[in-house]
Amino acid sequence: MSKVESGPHAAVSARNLRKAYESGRIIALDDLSLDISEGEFVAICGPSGCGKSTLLNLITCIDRPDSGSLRVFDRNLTRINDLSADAFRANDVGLVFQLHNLLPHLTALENIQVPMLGQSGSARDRSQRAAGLLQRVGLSDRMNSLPTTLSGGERQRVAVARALANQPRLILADEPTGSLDSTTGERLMDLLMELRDSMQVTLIVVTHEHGVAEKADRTIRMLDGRIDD
Amino acid sequence: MPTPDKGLTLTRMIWRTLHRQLVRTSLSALGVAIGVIAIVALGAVAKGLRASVQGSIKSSGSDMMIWQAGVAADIFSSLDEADTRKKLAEFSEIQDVAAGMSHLIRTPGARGVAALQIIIGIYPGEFGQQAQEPLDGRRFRTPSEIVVGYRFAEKQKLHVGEPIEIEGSTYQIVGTFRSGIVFYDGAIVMHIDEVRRIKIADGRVTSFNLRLKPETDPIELGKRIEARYPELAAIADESQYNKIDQGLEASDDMVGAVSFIALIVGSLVIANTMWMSVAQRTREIGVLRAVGWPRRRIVGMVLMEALGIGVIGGAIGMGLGVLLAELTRSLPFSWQFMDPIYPPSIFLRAMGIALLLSLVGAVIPAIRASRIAPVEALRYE
Ligand SMILES: Nc1ncnc2c1ncn2[C@@H]1O[C@H](COP(=O)(O)OP(=O)(O)OP(=O)(O)O)[C@@H](O)[C@H]1O
Ligand SMILES: [Mg+2]
Repeated sequence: MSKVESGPHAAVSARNLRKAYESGRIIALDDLSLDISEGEFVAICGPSGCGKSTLLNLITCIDRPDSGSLRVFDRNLTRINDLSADAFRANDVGLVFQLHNLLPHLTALENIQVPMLGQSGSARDRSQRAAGLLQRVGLSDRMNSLPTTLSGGERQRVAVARALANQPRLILADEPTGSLDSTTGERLMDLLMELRDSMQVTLIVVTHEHGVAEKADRTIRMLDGRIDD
Repeated sequence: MPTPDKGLTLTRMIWRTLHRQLVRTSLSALGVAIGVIAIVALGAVAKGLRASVQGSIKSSGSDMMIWQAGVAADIFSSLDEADTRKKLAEFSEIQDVAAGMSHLIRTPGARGVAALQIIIGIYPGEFGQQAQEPLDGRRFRTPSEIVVGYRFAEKQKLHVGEPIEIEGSTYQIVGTFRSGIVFYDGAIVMHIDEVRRIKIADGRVTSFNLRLKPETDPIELGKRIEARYPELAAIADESQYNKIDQGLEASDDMVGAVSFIALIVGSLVIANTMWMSVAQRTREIGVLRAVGWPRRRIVGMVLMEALGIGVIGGAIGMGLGVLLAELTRSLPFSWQFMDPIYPPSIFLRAMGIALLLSLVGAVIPAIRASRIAPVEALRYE
């Protein structure tokens, strides 16, 4: 893949990212460069251990690269401090995990409000917004249900709604359908794509499933910490 | 479609967490409560003691008391009556003098009578402990007549007109009284000569109550009496009572010591609880970090959870503390001294300590929680 100069509408722009673990013995990302445009839906595929999750962790500031540079929406993440990283994750990024990672003692509606807690506005406002998001993912009637009473697909829908809590510009999902059966997984992907269209977010999905990758605007294949092209 | 509720706040989230770990929350709240119980119960008893001492100094219009200087405890005070009266007569500000002699006796034991009983001897003609209007019957006039405090009468189920045997002699109860001072209301009051006979202390008294002429400053007069007669201790206020008895100071020290121990033990309980709770929620806290919670909000959350336990423990402790203090009213013997009182300061102090120990205990767990990395949310083992 050639080094494309990122245009004005770049969502993610990574250059020569390296990330090693266990004092260099495991190289998770090896000189990886990558551009993703704003509004794009990108699927990231590749064999287990090739560095997909590591890449997502860098893009979401959950982890930092050893070297290279990384910009997300004109924000330089290469040497960002912790507080700015927290603010970045709170405001610009929505995360969907492989397992839902909902807080078990909070209802669906409340779980969606967790990322909103630091935001301005009254608790009632936040609650209304959360209710609106639940409606978008088709779970209005399960507002006050605890995660344990929801099905796997429903939990992931709530997790998607939580990822949308602060109107992020970028949604990253690491094998969001990994714990779901194929029909439920497909419906979740449809939901994500529909949201991408209606909310104009950039969507990055790590997946093993061909069905998912086929729906993406572009599929990026990784191998041993590099883009495989 | 159900309408959304009031919305999630950090406080709500914390109550949910405490509720979810109900057993753990309750047990640690009890750990906090134990200290609070002790602080409230001992504090109320100590306050009650001070109030009763103050009451006895000021009883029946008395302005001050004279005791033997240098005694280890008030009960050991012994003054020569005639000699002391002569000394006191030198001070023209003194209007009235009432002699009193107190003693502890073994009581007959029948009808659940306490093993030890306070008896107080006074002259029937002088102002003093029985000067208040009798509740029932009349004041005593002769050495074979006695009056008893209403708490004693109730406790022993005795009535005016009934005889009572004390140290081998039989006395007639001619009246009961209520002074509002716990020592007196649980006591037997009789002719001073009878107490002297029982105590084998001819011509001696325990203390004098003094009434002063108007405009006299009792503290200043007390200083002059003591300067002139160092063998006398003049007490115009409970704060001066330590001259003849360190019991009040000791009880205050005890409250202090218990508060301190409560602080240590309670902090350890909270520290243990919060440490475990944080350890178990590593992943959840990682999720909070991953969705953008800054470290300080995690710290705040853990501290507030601990404060929540502190509030619950404090409330339980206050309730049980009052219950325990009230129980002392019915203990054999101590019922004669115990009249716990509950100024708001006791509860403020107890709640303050409960909250402080919770915060102190939660500091290290909170720091640990704040160090949990967002990547913890992504571990799937
Ligand atoms: N915290 C860590 N410590 C040590 N090694 C790590 C750590 N995280 C990842 N690795 C290693 O880095 C490499 C890339 O891991 P990564 O999780 O990015 O792979 P992945 O493509 O997401 O795999 P999978 O499809 O199985 O989720 C792997 O060899 C992994 O063992
Ligand atoms: Mg992975």
